[in-house]
Amino acid sequence: MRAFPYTIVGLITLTAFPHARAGDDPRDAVFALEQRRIEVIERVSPACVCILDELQNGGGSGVVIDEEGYGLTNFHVVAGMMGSRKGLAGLNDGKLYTLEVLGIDVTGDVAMFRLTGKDRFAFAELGDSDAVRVGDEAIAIGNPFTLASDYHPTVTLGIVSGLHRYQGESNTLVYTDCIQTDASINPGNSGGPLFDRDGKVIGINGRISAEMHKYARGRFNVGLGYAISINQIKRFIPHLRAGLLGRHGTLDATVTDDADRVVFDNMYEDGPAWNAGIRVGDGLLRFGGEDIRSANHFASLLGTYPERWPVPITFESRGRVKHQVVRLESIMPQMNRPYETPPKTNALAVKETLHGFAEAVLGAKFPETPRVWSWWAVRIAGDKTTVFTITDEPGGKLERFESAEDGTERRIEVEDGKVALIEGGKRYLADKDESLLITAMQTLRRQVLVGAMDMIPSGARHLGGDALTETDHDGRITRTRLLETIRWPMSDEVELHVGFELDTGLPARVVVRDAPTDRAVEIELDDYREAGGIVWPHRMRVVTSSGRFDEGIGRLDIEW
Amino acid sequence: MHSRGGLIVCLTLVAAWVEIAAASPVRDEAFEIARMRQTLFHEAVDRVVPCVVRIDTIGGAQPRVAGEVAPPEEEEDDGSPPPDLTPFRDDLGSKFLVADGPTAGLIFDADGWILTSSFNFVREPAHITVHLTDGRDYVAELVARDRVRKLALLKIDATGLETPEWVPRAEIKVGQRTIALGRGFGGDTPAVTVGIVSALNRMAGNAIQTDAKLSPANYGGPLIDLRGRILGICVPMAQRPGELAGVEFYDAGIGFAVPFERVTEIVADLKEGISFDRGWLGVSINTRARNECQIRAVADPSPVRGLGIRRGDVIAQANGRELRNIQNLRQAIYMVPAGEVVQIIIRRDDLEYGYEVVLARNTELGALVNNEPPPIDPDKPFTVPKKLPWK
Amino acid sequence: MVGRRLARLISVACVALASSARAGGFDPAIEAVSERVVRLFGLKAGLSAGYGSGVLVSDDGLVVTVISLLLDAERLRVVTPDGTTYGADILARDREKQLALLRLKPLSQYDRRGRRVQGAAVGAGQFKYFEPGDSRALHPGDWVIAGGNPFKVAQGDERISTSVGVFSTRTELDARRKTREFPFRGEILIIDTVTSTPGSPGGALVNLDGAWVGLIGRLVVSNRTHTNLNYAVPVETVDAFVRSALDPDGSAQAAADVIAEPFHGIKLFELGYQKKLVYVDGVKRRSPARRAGVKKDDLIVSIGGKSVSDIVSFKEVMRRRSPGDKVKLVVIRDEEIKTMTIELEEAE
Repeated sequence: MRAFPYTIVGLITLTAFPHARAGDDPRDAVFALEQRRIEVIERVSPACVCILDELQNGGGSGVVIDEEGYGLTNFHVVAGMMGSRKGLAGLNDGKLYTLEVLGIDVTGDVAMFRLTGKDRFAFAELGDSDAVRVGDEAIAIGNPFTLASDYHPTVTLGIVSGLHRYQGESNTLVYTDCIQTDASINPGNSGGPLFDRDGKVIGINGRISAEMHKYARGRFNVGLGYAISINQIKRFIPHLRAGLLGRHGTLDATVTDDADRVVFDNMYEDGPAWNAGIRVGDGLLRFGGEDIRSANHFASLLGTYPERWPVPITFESRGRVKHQVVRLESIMPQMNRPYETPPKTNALAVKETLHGFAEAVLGAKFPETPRVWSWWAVRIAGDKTTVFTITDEPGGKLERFESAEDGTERRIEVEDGKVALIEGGKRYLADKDESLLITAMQTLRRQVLVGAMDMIPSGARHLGGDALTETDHDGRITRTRLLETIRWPMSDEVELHVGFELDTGLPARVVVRDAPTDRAVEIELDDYREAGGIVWPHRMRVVTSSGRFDEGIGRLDIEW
Repeated sequence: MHSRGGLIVCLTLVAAWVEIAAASPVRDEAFEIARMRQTLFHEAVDRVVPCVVRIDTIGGAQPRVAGEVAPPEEEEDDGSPPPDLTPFRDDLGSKFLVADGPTAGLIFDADGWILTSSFNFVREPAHITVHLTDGRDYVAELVARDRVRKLALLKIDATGLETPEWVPRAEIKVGQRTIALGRGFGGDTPAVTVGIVSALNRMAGNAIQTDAKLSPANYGGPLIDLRGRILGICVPMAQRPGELAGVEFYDAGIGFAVPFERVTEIVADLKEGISFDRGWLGVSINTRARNECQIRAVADPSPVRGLGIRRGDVIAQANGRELRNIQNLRQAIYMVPAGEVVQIIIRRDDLEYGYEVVLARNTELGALVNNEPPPIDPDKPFTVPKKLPWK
Repeated sequence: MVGRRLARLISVACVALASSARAGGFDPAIEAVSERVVRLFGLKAGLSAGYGSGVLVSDDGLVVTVISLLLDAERLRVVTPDGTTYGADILARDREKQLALLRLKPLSQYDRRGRRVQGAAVGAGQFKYFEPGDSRALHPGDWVIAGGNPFKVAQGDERISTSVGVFSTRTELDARRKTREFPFRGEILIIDTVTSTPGSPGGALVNLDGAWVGLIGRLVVSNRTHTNLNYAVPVETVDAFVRSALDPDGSAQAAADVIAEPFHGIKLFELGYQKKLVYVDGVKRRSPARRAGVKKDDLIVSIGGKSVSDIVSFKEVMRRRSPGDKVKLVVIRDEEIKTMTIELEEAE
């Protein structure tokens, strides 16, 4: 409504003054937009890739998403290169670069590659496909019919025709939650980017609707192209960068439309749905924060999540509405041959993640000496509440626990990896959870937060992506932090997982796991602010567990 | 007086506007710009319409073999289909019917020269007429064709015709709006389709590419910018020879237009009645040879016969492009008409020899022969650098 | 005064540029079309038998669509924009215009336990619908927005597919389906957004304001260009059909007769086998052609703006004309173009 008076003015000027002076001409607004589109295309075109196999055959497209030369395409574009993992990529500087295929997502038809051949590659920024609306301008860039003999890609313009489309026929190449566009997409555009009008990638173009019967035209654009939404791909990017096989998640349960409800009609015992307390006949109300409208809607949403991903679910069981966060199981994609992660790729991903972290926390330098750090904590175990603080003095080896209630001093001593608690002069071994917690705290401070990354033992492995999802009491998502996880062994028995936030490179989750007992302590780090020259978390949340994350023996909220 | 008129216009519009606005509330700046863009489409079309003619043809038939006549270069040794250019076959080219409906042309200069597409005359019509926007009709003469760039030049007996303004190629930008005008549906107004410039340097530099819907409805018509200036002449094109090549892309958002610079290079010849035809090396390629472009037989006479090139030789490069199969060869030379030069590198016994070959017309080629030509004079061929610059 | 306002418009435009306004300005039209186009599915022996689109033309569930195979199915399933499923009865068909009118009705379904679930009721004031707009006001280059369900991609309560293009031109339909002539006679709206896809026909075409200007037509191949046509039947033609179908006479049900060629008085002959030339063999005395100045041995170029490639194509044009119509004839006589206008008369 705010625009109302201006629109009238627009009409009048068009009608009554068709030949207004140049400076006053409302046509200028159109020409300004034209200019803007031209500039956006100029800016993003150098990041668009024409993909060929090693013999310079075939034709596909891709897009570079960072200056190191990492990029995205469709799996079906590089499927023929999986033997050598090598291909060629033409950029609009007219040159061919070497392309290496990294991780692939067979089900979702996405692959990541890395280009080599120059120091810095032009790249395109990733947008937010959840913010896209029908009617938005969409720009597709790619190499249809391998027309780009000079590797200058083809640019086509259209609008977003539909959202959340589901284009699945089998277990492979399932396009879920994809963006439908009428921008012309043709064979060879596969793997190329779909941009919004600001030049941010909102999807990877992958398939088109075309009639293939005898009288039909064949594989040419008829106004319906589909792009895999970039937000789905973002969840898989850490897997793909690390050279891992992107596996999709499942609830191990199926749903069906039943009159006006969506109900569970089949499930495996001990699957994620079962373990969350869902039974056949229960109604599915919400998944991943979205109200579920149909079985198809659920299938479309589910297909966007990787295995092990935490997803909030709201369901109705015997008249009661329940909220849970479930971790999905893995769908095994159909593969022609066993998939092996290239070790170099994974090692490089580890290095880059840690490098990004070091930069984020420390800038270029390490702090000179650790200062006094303390946390206060509240522990609720049964009906007993204990408030205590942990203080770490400069250069000191011991941490001191104090109970605020009775003033009893507790000390911790760590000897040979074993943790002892000294309380009121009595010394006893901490229980496993406490022990793990303290190990985690120490590791956090000494190795993770202080950034002594050169101390990381060998054997580190990049595990791909994960998420931290926060929900409110209605089970709605209030915040999602995308992570990439690195695992390394601390000893023969204990291993450490650190989840670094994708956006910032900062540690968001530290998990210490004791393999023989399968017990783990998980610390979530949040509210990073600068303190004393380094960026430091000002809020922590600790979950101890006995096997499953949500069944802790206690819970500590620790704040600095 | 003027201001009162303006006021009345205002009030009427406000009234009309309120009514429309009540029906649908979401009208924002973007909507207003869309409306403005629509006005610009109208203005651009209006500017160029006097220069767009309707061409009718009388008589003529489907080309004897729709698509292309199998040339010696494409003869197969083993009868297997040729390797695909892309993973996706385009088999439409051979089943496309050429219609006899009206087509479009653009007045090139005031003295009755009309530029259009050679596609419009593949039926070899007996008579051609031209209908001007002002209503005048003329019998037209088809002066010459460029079957490589898919252009044709007509002459009508008229003077003082209105001519359009062309955009210099350097000013054309990828992403700018395009409007294509056609006459394929008859009537007195052109059919309008819109798009953007998709790429600048296509088909060996002979065309710009647009995603405006191009089809037999507007081949021969102009592609214009938002200011009503000519960007190029719409033609069907693909990376292969053949009079119908490229028509399979119709309405698929893959369209080509020949820009001014390329038109002016050839228009003087066309006016002289000189046609451009596909150029031939006069070789047959062994499609069984793996990963190389090996010669199976050479036509005698042919451009390569006199150079001593013979069966078993490998064409390693053409115009700086490395060749691995017959498709590569076709892509390297499909835009070089007969009479123009192609640089090729021949490999024999691990030695490479460079040549500049003037391509011939199909009709100038003799039969394929396998006998030994005179040996290559080791002093005569020149060796060229492995990488030749090419456009 | 105006200058200042203009400045304001431009500044608003600049704000629009600076902000991340992504929309192309088609929101009102997309909203209008998305809320008024229904998806049609045919059911035969419980199996799917075709799909298409339709346009709501009344608030109590009248839907207009094109004739297609799906109308021959045992049952029709209609999904409205909010995802509700209805049944439908066919009220009328017009085989010449290739249009059909449906009325929605409740559709009972069975749930997975085999219990019958009553379908949604149909009543007055229930549906958003289109009033006919004005297709004659369309100017080549005007934005048009097409809405339908091509390839039935929209499932459940998903929105239909909308695409944007421009109005190309208005022309008389001259087309075929596979090898058979398409019976539709009259003007159509050519558009440059692709609608020649399964499922699109029966959808709506609207202008930038969201006003309904046409109904997406059936899949046909143009005889003039031999390409798949992207077109819409003008809303006036659709509206006339709806009105006559609701007329108690039921005149729309009457099958279209083959219209006889009106009297012009030209006898033709053809020359050539593949390249045919059509010449005037003779002109009847006191005939319209004689009065117009047609002479023996004139080479026919075009009739009524359509090129003449053989005698059949000449007769095809004439059959579509009525007595009293004036039709323009272009001939070549002595290497010169002659244009004549023949006023057709009643056939004897």
